[in-house]
This record gives sequence, C-alpha cells and structure tokens, in this order.
Amino acid sequence: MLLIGALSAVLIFVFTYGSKGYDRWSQARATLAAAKHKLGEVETDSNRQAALATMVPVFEAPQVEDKQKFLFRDKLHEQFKKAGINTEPLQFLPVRKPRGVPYRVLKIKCKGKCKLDQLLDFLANLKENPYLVAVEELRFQCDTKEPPEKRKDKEIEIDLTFSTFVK
Amino acid sequence: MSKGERTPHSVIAVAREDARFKAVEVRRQDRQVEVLWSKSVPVEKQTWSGFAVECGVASNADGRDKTAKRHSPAVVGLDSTGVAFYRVSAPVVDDHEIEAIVKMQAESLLPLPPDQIEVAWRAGSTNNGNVDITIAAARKEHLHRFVAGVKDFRPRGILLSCEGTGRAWQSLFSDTVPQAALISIGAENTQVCLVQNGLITRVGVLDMGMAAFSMPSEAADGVLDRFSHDLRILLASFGWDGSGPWPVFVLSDGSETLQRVTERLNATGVPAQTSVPNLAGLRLPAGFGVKEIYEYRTPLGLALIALDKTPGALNLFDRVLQEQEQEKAASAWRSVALAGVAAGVMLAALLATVYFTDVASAKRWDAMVQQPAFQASLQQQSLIRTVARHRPDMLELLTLVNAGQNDGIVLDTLHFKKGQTVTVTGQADNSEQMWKFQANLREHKELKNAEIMNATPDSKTKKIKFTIAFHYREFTKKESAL
Repeated sequence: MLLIGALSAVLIFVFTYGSKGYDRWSQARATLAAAKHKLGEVETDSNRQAALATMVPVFEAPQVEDKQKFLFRDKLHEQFKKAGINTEPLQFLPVRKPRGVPYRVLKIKCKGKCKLDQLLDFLANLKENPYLVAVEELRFQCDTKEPPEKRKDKEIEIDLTFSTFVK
Repeated sequence: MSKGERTPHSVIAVAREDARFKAVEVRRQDRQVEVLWSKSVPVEKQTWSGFAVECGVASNADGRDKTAKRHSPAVVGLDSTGVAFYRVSAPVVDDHEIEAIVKMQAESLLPLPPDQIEVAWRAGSTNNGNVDITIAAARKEHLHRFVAGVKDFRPRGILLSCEGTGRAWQSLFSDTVPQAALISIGAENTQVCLVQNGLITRVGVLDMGMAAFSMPSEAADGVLDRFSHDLRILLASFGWDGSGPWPVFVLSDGSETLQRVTERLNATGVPAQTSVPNLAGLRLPAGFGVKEIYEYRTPLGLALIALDKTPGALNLFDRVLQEQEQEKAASAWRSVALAGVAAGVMLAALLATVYFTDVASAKRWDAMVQQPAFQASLQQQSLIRTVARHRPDMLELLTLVNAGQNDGIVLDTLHFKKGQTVTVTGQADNSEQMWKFQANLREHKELKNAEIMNATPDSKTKKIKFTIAFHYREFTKKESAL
C-alpha cells in the first residue's frame, strides 16, 4: 500500500509538473537550435573568407535609392576618370526588384571609347567601388575597317552596364 | 542429496578432523572402490576456501587458476562436536505424526528456543510397538556458518562426519557386525558411536585423545583409567550393561598406542577389541595403506555414503540450504530493486542536468545572437556573399578568351551580358585556326559549350569571319540576370 501510495504521488507530481517542464524544455531546445543555426551562418572557414575578400574587397550597406544612385554614379565616374576613359553621360536604368535578392537593383549604363589597356585597368580597379554589385553587361568592338596589325593603338568602342543595390 | 539426482561414479569427500582438513576422491569401478587421491592440510595453515582451491574444486580469488572447471561432485562432513544426539521412543505411527512427536520431544529436550535449533531425525528399530528415534540437533547459526565456510566446494551434500566414520568401519574395516559401539580416537578427543544395522544411533564425544594416550607409560595409564571410566558411563547411557548387548570396537591402524589403549580398556573392565582396515576389494594409490585408510576413515566413509546414495542419512542442512537459497533470492530481488531505484535516480539526475544545461545554453546562445554587433556582422557577411554570387570577374573572362596559342586569330567584338551567352566575333586565316581557337575555349572549365555560330569567308581579306558563343560560369544562365 505504501509503495502504491508513493508511486501515485510520484505519478501525480510527474503529470502535474512534467508537461510544463517538457514544454519549457522543448522551447529551450528550439531556441538553442535557432541560435546555433544563426551562428552556423557565420563563415568561419579562412579559405572561403579569403576567397570572398578577393571577390568583394569592399562593400557598403545599400542606401535609399536617391542617395545610393549618386554615390554609385560618382564613384564610377571617378574610376572612369582615373582609368582615362571618356564616356558619354552615365544613364540610370529603372530600378527593379529581382527574385531571390533582398534589395532592389539599380543599373547604370554607359558608352565610351578607350584603348584596351585602359579598359583592363578600369576593370581591375572596379572591385574597389564599394557600391558596385556587378558588371551586368560588357561589350567592346574594334574598328573592323582597320587591318588587325594596325589596331593595337586604336581605340575600341565599349558598352557597359553596372548594378548596385538600393534599399 | 535430493531424490532424482544421479548417483555419481566418483566423489570428493572432505572433512575436518584432528585439526586437519582431509579430502579424498573415491571412484566406484567394477564393483571395486578406488581411492584416486588424498590430501591433508593442518587447519592453522589453510581455510575451507583455500583447501577447496587446493583440491581443485574452486578457482583462486584472482580467477587465474582454471583447474576447477570440471571436477567430481563433493560432499562435506560436519564435525560431530557441534551436534547433540538424543534417543527417544515413539509409538509406531506414520512419518508425519512421528515428525510432530519428534518436534515436541526435541523442544522439551533442547536447551535453546526451537527457532535457533535445527533438528534431523531417523527412525530405527521397533520394540514392543515403539520405534526408537535418533535425533541430531545443532544450532542454526553454527550450521549457517559452516555452509558459508564450505561454499567453495559447492557440496552436493553435507553429512555428519560420525556417519562417515560408521560407514567406513562397515565397509573398510575388519570384524564388522550388525551392531557395535565404535571408539574412534582422534588427536584431542574420542568419538564413540553406536552403530545399529549400519546406521549411527547414538554418538558421544570424550575430550581425551591420542595426545593424552601417547604420554609415558605410567602417566598414560592414569589417563586411560579415567578414559575407561568416562567411556563406561557413556556406553551405559547408550544401553550397555558391561558386556553387551553389542561388542565394543576400537578403530585402529594397528599402532602400538591404540593396541595399548585397547588392552587397558580390557584390563579396566571394558571388553574391547581393535578393528583395523581391511584392504580387500580396494584399489589404492601407491603409498596408500592401512595407516592412510585409518587416517582418512571419515572422508572415505562420507564418499561411500555419497557413492551408494545411502538412504536415511541424518540431514541437518536441508532447511538451512533452503533458507540460504531463499535469502539469496531475496537478496537478488533487493539488488534488482536497489539497482532499479539507483537507475531511476540516475535517470532523473541526467534528465535534470540535460534540462538545466539546455535551458541555460539556450539563454546564453540566444543573448549572443541577439547582440546588435553580431547581427550587423552577420548581415554584412550575408550581403557580401550575395554580391559575390552575382559578380562576374570580367578580367578572368577576357584572360580565358585570350589564353592559349591562338595564332592568326583577331577578335573584333566581345559581348557579355548576364543571362545570355557570351559571343565573340573575329577573323582567322583559315578554318584550322578557328577550330583551334574553339578548342582552346573548350579547354577551360569556366567556359562551357563553345560553339561556332557562323563562319564565312571574306572575299576581300581572304580570311574567315566567325562568331563563337559560349557560357561563362553560372552568369550566362537566365536566372542570374539582375
């Protein structure tokens, strides 16, 4: 009888406080799993971190459109100037929101003429633009009327489109 | 030995006698009794457990000695000094009623409460409608201690040593008769048994033995006179009238001392004769003779009882062993219950530990990931990953297009647009140069599916104008365009 009584007392205790405790435990485990998942998103592999830093050495958090578009344009203009490339005025394309990207995308299009070396120099330094997301389009054309051996120092026509994120 | 057990062909019998542990292994073969080996160790140099190891029926405490794996069954003798014998009469009735009568009589005879005493009884001959009953009684505590002491022998039976002595006299000594008083003289005491039809009916112990009788002649005579006096009183209590109704035998190995004891008994009015071992029908190991049979008479007798499965042995141990088995079973249950409770407590402790660890960890980790600096860092890293995913490396593309030996190839245009194939147009001196250029493009794993879209000869320049389209990494897939 004593044993049954003790067992009943234990069962009452377990059923009364057990479910509450279990709920609290489940909640704690879910919180812990979420926190771990979030921590898991942090890139800790040094090789991958280095690769990321090579591809995107600088990047500023996107601003609102009115601010971002001018920051981006001015920086591009500065980089063209630095490379000695004369372009027609930079032209903004309409902002759109692509799927799978957390920001809207603003594109700038430009045309110009430059030597191949200048283009290469410009492309090499383009990563230093903290607002640039990507070169969306690149087109260059040599003067086909010129014989190949005389093209070396001639200018080529270039068409470029760049993208940036806006809030 | 319980009913239904097979009668063994060989048996190890062990007894403690004359301050020595003695053991023999006896085998019955071709109607002959064969003594296989014998061992004797002073009790001050050994314990029951140690002797069991020495006899090969138990392993060492460290378990290294594996010799005890297989051995003959063992029987152990209980020294009669701790056992009281009584002789009562009861009317001839059935066994159940006799048991009740024995119980009542034993309670009145015994000096201790019945629950402290273990009793065994055996009905003997019938006289004038009454049956003579031999009762053996011993303290339970003594029996429990003895069982614990000899547990390493894992005995198949525990018998009274005096029954072994009686049986040995009947089977292995000369001049045997159906009824006799046996005087078995030990080192320190003498056991006197009344044997009737092969069964012990009375037992008494006198505290004089060979140590006293071996003194110089004059002193020994005085001791022997006292011994003779005590013996007469003891025999009288058995029903002896000075000359009968049964003869008195002194068990002897033929030694001079025992011969002198017998002569002195005869001289003091106890007509006794010696009975020496008879080797007929025995197969003995080398060096085992009359003296050794005399020395090992008790374990030899115990072995013969076990081999013949002699019925009616006084068994004081049935209930003791039963109680010990019950105690063992109860102890096992207690251990299981205790282990269960311990496991339950451990489980509860484990659950509590895991619970509190999880709750504390969740709190700490959650606080860590909620920190603004961490959030900002995570967001920045995520943003950089997104940019890296969408950023083609234009320098790499141009380098790959120009890589390799492209003799005679002049490029006119290159057009890259995300979501579309890259196209290059150019000129080559001949088709081979154009195909080589295509092959070079195909060599790079970053450029896929390089195909010549058109190739037309130019009549003016005599060259081939061509367009080649290819994919660059994942950037030329439709979904990569922003």
